[in-house]
Amino acid sequence: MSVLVGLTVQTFGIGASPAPVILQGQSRTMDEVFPHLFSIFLILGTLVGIVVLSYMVYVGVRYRSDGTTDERADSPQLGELPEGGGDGRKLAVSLTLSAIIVIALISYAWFLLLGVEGGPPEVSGEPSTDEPLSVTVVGEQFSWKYIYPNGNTAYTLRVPNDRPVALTVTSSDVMHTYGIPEYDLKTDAIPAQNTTIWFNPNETGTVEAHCYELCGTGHSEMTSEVIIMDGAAFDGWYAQSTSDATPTPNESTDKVAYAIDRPQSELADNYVLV
Amino acid sequence: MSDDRSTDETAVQPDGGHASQPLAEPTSKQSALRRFFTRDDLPPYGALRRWLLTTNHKDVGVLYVITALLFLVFGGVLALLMRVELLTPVGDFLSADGYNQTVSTHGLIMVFWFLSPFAFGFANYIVPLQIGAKDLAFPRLNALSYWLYLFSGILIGLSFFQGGSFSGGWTMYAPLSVPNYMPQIGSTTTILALTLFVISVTVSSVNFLTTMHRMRAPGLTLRRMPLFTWSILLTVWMMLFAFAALLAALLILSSDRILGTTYFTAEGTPGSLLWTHLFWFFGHPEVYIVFFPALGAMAEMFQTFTGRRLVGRKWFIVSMLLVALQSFLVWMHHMFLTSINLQIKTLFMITTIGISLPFDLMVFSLIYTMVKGRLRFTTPFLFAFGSLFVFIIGGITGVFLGAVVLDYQLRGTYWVVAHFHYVMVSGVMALVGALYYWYPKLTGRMFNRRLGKLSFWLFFAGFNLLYFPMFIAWETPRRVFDYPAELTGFHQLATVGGFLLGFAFLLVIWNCYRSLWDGEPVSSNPWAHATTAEWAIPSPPPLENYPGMPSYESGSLDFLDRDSVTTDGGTVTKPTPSGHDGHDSHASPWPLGISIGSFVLFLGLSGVATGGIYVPLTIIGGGLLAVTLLGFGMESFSVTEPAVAERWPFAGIENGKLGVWIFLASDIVLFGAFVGSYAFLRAGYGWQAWEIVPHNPIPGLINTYILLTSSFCVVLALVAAQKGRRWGVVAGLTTTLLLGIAFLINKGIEWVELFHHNVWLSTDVQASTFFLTTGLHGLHVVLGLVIVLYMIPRALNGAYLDDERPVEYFGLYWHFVDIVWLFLFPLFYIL
Repeated sequence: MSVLVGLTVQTFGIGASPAPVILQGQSRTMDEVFPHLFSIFLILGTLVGIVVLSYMVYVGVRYRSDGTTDERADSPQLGELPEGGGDGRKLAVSLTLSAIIVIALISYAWFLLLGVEGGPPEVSGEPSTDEPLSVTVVGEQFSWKYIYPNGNTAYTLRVPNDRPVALTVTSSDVMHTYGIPEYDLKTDAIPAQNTTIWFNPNETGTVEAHCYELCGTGHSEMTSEVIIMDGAAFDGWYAQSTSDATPTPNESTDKVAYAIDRPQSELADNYVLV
Repeated sequence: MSDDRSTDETAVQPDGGHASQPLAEPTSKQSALRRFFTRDDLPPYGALRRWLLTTNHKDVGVLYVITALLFLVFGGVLALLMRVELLTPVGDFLSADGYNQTVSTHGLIMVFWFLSPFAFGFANYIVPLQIGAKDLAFPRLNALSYWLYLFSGILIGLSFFQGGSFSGGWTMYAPLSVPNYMPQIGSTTTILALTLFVISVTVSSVNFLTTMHRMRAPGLTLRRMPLFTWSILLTVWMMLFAFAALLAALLILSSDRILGTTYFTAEGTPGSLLWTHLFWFFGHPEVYIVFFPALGAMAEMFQTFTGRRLVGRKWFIVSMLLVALQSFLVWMHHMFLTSINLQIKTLFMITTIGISLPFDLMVFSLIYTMVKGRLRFTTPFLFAFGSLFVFIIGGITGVFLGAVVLDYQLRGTYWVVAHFHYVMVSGVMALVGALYYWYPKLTGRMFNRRLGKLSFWLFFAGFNLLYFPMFIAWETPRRVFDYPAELTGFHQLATVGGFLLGFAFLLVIWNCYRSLWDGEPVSSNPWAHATTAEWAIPSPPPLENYPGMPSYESGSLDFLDRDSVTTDGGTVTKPTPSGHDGHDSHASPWPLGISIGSFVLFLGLSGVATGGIYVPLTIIGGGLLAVTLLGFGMESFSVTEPAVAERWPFAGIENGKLGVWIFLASDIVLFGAFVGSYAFLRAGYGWQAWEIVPHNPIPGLINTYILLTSSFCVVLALVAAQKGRRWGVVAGLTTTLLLGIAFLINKGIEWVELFHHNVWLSTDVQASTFFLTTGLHGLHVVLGLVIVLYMIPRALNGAYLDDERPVEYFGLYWHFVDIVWLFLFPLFYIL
């Protein structure tokens, strides 16, 4: 039985585990779950859309008036009191059908959600290199500040490719939303609140993080580099790292009047990072 | 009854002619201004005066439609500015702040100043006709709603000239919306403009609910109401409660901006989450508030142009009812990415899916209605059909967002933009259909059919060219002007579509404008197979709508002679005494005056913290408002309640009292939102760690007794009025006034004491919540005292001895204010 379930899971392309992941609530990253689920929704949604819209257009053409025989014995009369025109059965069947599709899809999505929400896998017996790297991300108008476990801060996120990375996201001023599209990651950065996301960086290289919540003048250009390093290279860098003093200036500052030199708001001054 | 459609529309002969009533010549003794506002008779359509004074629901409906279309052009130009900016993947057209202002005001104007008012133009015109009423229950309040709406829109337009309009998105997320981050006066003006708009909506909601629940033709039970009327009824119920929550949010935000309270910025409290809760508690019902009228209009058009009755009509209504109720239980699905926990996310995922299913039923119901019909693809039906078509796409793409995991990634991207435009502008498409559908009824002429069909195809093509590429380019983050370069092609397509859609709108407006002169005159029922009552009377209908009293008692619509009305079928109430020989009034200058006063006051308030010109503006506005309100109160304006009507479930009370009750219901939500905000902030801060602001509960306790006693005095005044004892009424009201003043003095002493200890509104969040919440209550007390002050001299003249109802209405309000205090006192003084 478990082989069957495992096969099904394999077929849908999520992960390598032969066990019924859903029931185990195994950890899954967003970049495993999202493309898979999105394509299922897209395929089914397109199918349902085509069926319903085609039927609608077909009915529209099929029952088009020829302009001569509009008046019939049972035509509605001006001033009549309304009554329901039968066909309740047909309605009930259609509703049930659509409800089954929607509820099945959403339930499946919910089980996958459990995997994402569970956080990085606990690998207690393994060597410490597999412990997730925890970084705090602080949104501030208009840059992303990263705080590493050793207390160093940086405006570029460097992560190793050999262990999970857990990000705790917050904001020092207004609401932002932190997202790394490459890894299908996104979460709100809210003053005085923490949200968490995690991912498994794999290929080394540079990707971009964006802001997804309107946060002021520099919102459009509030980006930051995320550099995924070879595990060993990361360890070397991390051992020698120091804090960045200021945000890395963005290339396209010609347009945006950056508010970095703006007097820090009371809020930012008072804010205590939890 | 007068048929006063004249001068420029002489070619139009309504088929049921009525005797014209001569216009009274204003006497030469009157001043020019006074003459201008003479209102004994409604001036002809050609005169500007008519449109300034009218309280007739049909005129007000037309005003709403025209004004909403003007705001459509405004919001549309903003949209096109955005689309031009997005032609290239870099920012090169608007400034960064300019782009943010454009995004924000486009959203605000389209959602608030275009969509709902456009729908309510039709609601104003059509609903009284469909239910068989002569007008709305409170015609002057209806005109007031319109003028407040217009001036709130002018106010948001002015905000651009006050250092820049609001730039934090239509969702106005805090704390970006506070002066620390958005210091421009124009941003405050935008928020005040929206507040003024909400006041207009609340007045309108009270009016529509009273009308629809109390003035239906005999035999027209709720279940038998036409679908458009049903959709408006549910819309208005949602509006009443949802907009009260928004009003609370806006008042708090205005206070943070103007008075310096710290609801959204205080350290250690979840202020920005508070805003998202308040906003989305309003914001999600708002989605249905703007879409329901379109749905109702679609149902009407589908029935008329298929020549069939709606399939599963009963279930269609039940579905709408379910959606209206559930709409208040889904708001947190806008917050899946915030710090709310998995259990709550799951709960709101379930309610979200729950609310999508009734829509499936409604869609199928509309499609099955076409089966075996004789579909006539007239212009209105093309729009209704096209609207359903794109709504289905909008609905399917919405299910994606209900799946929490997908929402994680789709939120904040163009997927959301594309989805809600497919839904919202599908609603607009249906309402444009409604404009064509009811155009002959409104004007007495047919629009140009060929141009109408052309406008549909351009509209449909432009719509899809504009919004469909957004699905493909969904990875573009929302509200940015620079996006991944590989998506440029899709955004350029969208821009082309945007201009096409804009052109289609202009064509619709042009068609409606030209056809006022060129259109061929139409009969009362130009569409055939329409069943609702508006098609049984001339196009356009005469001033008081019906040739006799409409009734469905016989099983279908009849017009009974008004004098020989029998009373066996409905409930009879005492008709309101009429001062105009039994004729209803149809004009008043005061709604316009009150709105101008409010406009000046709000404009002044926007910058009052900075001083300068704004201080005199505030004072002038306040004065003007006081004078016009007094004028409104003193004006003799006669409205007759129908002698016989369907009134379930409010048969036992009269219109005025129901209006007061409905208003108080929305006030409960307002105070509920304030108390909820307090509890939310306090819980986030630590309930026990929170320090109570008043040092001493005794003044609060004394005030509790004072208010209770004053409520008792109002009851004594009412009893005296019923027994015809003039001095008893005066004594009761005067004691109430004195006790109210004592309440305020006691509170004043308490506050001054706190100020001396350097506790002020902006000191900390504890002080902010204390002063603002009890201050709002204090304002309610002041308003009550102003009413009493107005009533006492009238009581001296014996005004309430024949008709004690005003005393009763005031009493309801006063008891309510009293009860609110009973909640506030323990919350802010003891717990």
